[in-house]
Amino acid sequence: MERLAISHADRQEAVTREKNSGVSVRVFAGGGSAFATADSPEQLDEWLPGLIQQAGALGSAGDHPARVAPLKRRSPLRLRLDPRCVSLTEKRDFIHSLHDRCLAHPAGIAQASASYEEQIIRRIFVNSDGTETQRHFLDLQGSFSATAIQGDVRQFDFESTGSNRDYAVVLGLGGMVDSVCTMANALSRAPKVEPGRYDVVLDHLLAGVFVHEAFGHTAEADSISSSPERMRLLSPGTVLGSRKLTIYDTGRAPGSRGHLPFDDEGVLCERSMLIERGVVTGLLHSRLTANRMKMKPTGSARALDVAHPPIVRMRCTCIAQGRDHLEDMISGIDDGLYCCKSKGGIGGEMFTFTTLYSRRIKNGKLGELVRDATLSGNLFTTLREIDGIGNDFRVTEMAGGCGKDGQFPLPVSAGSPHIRIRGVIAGGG
Amino acid sequence: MKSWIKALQKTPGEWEICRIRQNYQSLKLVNGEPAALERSDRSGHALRLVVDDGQAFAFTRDGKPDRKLLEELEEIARGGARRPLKFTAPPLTEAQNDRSTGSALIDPAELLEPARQAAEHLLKIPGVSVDVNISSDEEELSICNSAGRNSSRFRQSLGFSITADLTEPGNMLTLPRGRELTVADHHLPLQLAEELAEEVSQARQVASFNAGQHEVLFSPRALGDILVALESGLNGQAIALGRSPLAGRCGEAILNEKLTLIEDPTLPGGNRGGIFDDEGIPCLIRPLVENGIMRNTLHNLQSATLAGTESTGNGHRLQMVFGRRDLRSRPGISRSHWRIDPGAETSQQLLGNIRDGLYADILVGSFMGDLTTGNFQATLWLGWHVIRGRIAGRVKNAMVTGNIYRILGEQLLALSQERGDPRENSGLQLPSALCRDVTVAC
Repeated sequence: MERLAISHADRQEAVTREKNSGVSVRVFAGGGSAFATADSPEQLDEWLPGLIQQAGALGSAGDHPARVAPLKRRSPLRLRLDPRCVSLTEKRDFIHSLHDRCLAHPAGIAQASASYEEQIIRRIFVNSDGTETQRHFLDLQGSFSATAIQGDVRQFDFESTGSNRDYAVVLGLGGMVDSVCTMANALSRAPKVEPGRYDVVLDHLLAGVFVHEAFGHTAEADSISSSPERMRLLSPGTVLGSRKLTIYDTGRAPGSRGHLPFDDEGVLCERSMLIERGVVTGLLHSRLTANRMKMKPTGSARALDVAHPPIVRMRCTCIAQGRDHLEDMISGIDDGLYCCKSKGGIGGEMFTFTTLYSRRIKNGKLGELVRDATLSGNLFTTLREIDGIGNDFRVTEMAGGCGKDGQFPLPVSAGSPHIRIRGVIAGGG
Repeated sequence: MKSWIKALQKTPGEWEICRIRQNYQSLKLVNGEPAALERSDRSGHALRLVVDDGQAFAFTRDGKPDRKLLEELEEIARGGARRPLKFTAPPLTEAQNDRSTGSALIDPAELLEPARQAAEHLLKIPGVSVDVNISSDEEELSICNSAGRNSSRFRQSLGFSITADLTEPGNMLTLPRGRELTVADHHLPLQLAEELAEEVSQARQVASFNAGQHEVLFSPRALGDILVALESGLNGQAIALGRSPLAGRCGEAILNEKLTLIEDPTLPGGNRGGIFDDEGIPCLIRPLVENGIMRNTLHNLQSATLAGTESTGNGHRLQMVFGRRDLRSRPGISRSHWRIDPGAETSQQLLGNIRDGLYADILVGSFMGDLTTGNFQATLWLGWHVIRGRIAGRVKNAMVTGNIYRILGEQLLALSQERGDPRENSGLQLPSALCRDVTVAC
């Protein structure tokens, strides 16, 4: 792996180069598994007999990976604008310009930051079933933020993007400086949201984070496969959401950071339906969890890098397009919020997702800008309260990534139309 | 490393090289049965170059010097914005230099039987599944720089974590406990499991709770979660740039007079304590806040250069949430280990003072707020409705919001006599804190 990272914040630049490589092995024997990673194959050679013995001493008799047909596949780099054709100077200059333009903006920006990162990775996977895969891929991301200050109030807006094939996507950030600075300034003058329960409409970005945190992590089968009670609670046929709601996770999202032709166990990626019309229809599986739960692997086993074993992860998690119009969703709210963009979230029975800004909705009309709303929901209730799903589906890319079991940040994507949810808790600042 | 040093000595400007080796073994048990073993031995070099006040940073797994990489770093440094950085080599005592702690990597299987017993204790509870992780970690860091620093640091730790997942209709709760142990602590896994079992049993009973402003008793764990907002305010770079609300306030009252916060790298637990930080600067015991008055800030070499002062030994590499340290990262600014002086009353007495409020035991997500202002919004992961001093049931679907300077300022009523174990709280030794008028949304 080769990585370049450029950041510019508070008029200070930092540039990092990384060259990383390694090798890992995973052994399944007698119902247990052993994983090892080292800098060189010779080191693993030394450990291998011990690993096989230790794996055999672990685990229950039935715990082994589900059988899949061997796959021999290569996925080469397929790029539009190759970042390697863009000089370091040009990249630095672009990041500096985002930063400097924010600080020079007439909206009066007190602080700005901009960052860019590209990784080019070659991953080779071989297993004893005869699978041999090679994936040569790019992951790039860019973002910038502008902070405005009014008295004690500091507020920021940001834009971020990513791609697995096109540096030009990052250049598109240049056209967003004005809107970001203007919004930061407006937010610094906006009142805070009063904590309480609201009917909310979420924009694409926020809805993408919502589906990731509200159900995506729960759908990762390794979080439930050791609990018979959880498997029952989330078994196919369980009603978890409203009839309008359909959720899926896919590796087939060309150009997207979450795009994956095959996973890190050599399983082809597919669209995995998770909830259809409110009913649980499937989960995300690795070969291990698929065997435990007598299901098919879904190509969802991903490792952050060679130093980590593959575990069940999301790829591009989506709420399927509906039929509702945004205007109708808003006009159907007496007292609520139109919530936009996200600073991240946390999943679980109670999940949290932060909004960047919101607009009050009163009597069906959009009103004043408000700030500092963090939304929280419950797996068993909030999904049922989704009563509007828009006809304007979009895949959204963000910088950063997903974290689980110490593997952070894994590139993922999300897709959604606007959605409306009744009765969501908002914690104001 | 010697060959890298020779190559760096030929470059213009100042330089720093860290050789980092991370070695771990971990054993995972699922529902009391060993299921997976992991083993890792990785090393690499982190390089920093400063030429004409421009900087470049690199990480590489190459054991031998990479001439092309060094040339690239020099080009990056020369072409970059001016960002002065002075490497230093403050004297270390003999005890601080080349000090090793512990012995060879401990086999996690030595705790297998206590781990099994702990899991079995929890598995007796209906609806509960249990994950246990035993991890033995070694970290070796050798650091040299052009100012003459040449030191090594070796850390070893044995970690035990146990997670109980409770599942019943309408209720899905994950409760973790974790602790740094020694192999001799055979009884501790079961003790942790017993504490967890008590929590799980109580958690079944759900209570209603009204949104509004309440008295809230923050447990040591919950207090540790929201202290990240204070850490952000004490950041030396944020202060030097005027971003922090604490800029220019050293010597002034910033928190309640009951509160004294000491940075103490000798506390066990966590992995940012010890002799020197990731830049080779000695870590010291020193007050950050004394009876509410701000005394010190947190600096690494970069921020110290910016502020025209010396590093305080707070140049630490990134700590992943629920993971290991990312030693490939550039040293940022973060706390080492902290302790807050205790109060006079017991936690039980503080709880007894609450007429109708909340005991916040575990909070999550406070790091997602705008920490520079001190504001936080945290989801209540585990909390209890307290009525007339007694626990009335678990509160679900709630968020706690506030500003750390007010919560630990005018809103602070009392601190408890007992403090949590820093080995269970990432090197934080904290009391419980009773606060009034805390906003709870639900």
